[in-house]
Amino acid sequence: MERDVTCDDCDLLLAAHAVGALDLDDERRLVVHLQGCAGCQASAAAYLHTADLLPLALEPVTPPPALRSRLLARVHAEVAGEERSRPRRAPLRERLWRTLPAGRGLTAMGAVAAMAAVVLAVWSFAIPHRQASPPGVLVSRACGLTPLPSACGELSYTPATHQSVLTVQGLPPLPVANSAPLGGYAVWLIHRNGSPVLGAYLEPAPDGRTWAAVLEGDASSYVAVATTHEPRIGSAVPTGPELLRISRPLTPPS
Amino acid sequence: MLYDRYGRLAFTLALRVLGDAGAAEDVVQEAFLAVWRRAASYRPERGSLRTWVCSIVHHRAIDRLRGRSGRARLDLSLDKAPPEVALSDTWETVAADLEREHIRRALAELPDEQRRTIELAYYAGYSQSEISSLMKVPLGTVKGRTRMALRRLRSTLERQGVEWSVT
Repeated sequence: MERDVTCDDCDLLLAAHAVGALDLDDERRLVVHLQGCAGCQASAAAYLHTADLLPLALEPVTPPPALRSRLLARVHAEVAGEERSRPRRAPLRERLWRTLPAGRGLTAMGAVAAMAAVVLAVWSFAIPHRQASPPGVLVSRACGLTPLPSACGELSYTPATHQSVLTVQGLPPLPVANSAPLGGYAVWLIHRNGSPVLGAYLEPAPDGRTWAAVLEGDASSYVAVATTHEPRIGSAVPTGPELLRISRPLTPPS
Repeated sequence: MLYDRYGRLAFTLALRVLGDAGAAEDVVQEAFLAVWRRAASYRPERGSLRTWVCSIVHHRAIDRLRGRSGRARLDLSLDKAPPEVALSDTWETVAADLEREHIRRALAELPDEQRRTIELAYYAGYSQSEISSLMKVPLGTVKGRTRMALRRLRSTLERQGVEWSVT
């Protein structure tokens, strides 16, 4: 019969847990003990905070900029998909605005609000009945070119955050090769001289109908965005036909 | 946003654990999505944001390293955090102000076997039983080394003037 965990036993288990080395059986024993021991609960926090110092000793490595764009696009895609699945739900826009912190301090909810500030720009696009864009968000829209006239998109730019969000509907699913999507829909920033620079790749919403990408940087650096299908991810120049082009928004939406 | 503040730390940690940039990107992306989905469960009084984010990144990186799809883990730092534990954000500030070299020095002051034990656990994802086999020492020794390493690390940092905010 397994004996009860003492506080000294628990202390050992907490140290192991803090560095992620706890065996499964010990996890269960630890949970049982913690439920009735306030002293060990406090020790748990102390060990965790000590262990969390370990990565601070590492030489920092900056992640690729595209990771941030992909993350924001995923957030948008989830928000859009969630809303599509619950069309009669109270508008998330309102709920998100209510979460905005009064101060400037960073909190988790503040972080959500920061993301929400981006996705709000595309929110109206993702719901059946369009609503006015949030204040300070510039929007332009266009529909597809000859190869794909069914594609329509919206480019929203938030000057305060220097972020643009492109959402597109009417794109066909990516072709499949060997059971995997072939390439991706690339978003190109078209500069004044006409040269395209890869901005991001569109990410699909769960419903498969809406695609989105977050574009970083000052929108004044480009005059339009264009979308192509690129069979190879990472191509430095467009190789597929242009499917959609949207001019940079210049005026506030009416 | 939160990613701008902790994205580099998260990526650094994930890359150190996984050793592969692509896998690290996947883990970081999924971790921040988890943060976003679970933001409502965050309680500032139970721990800093840095700890919250690092815990999620670390758990997911270790899970991936071990080939797990995310078994239920004891997650004391997150929404299951003990309600009686009160942490101020002071630690977050302190941690941000700490020179990397200070932490490295504190780690360097640990006996080799203690430092190696927590590195095998934290970065390589080995359980204590596995470390016991790897280092050819009894399981009790591994447990003792882990605890002692963390205690000494904390003690050393306190001597360097770090004020701990666990109350």
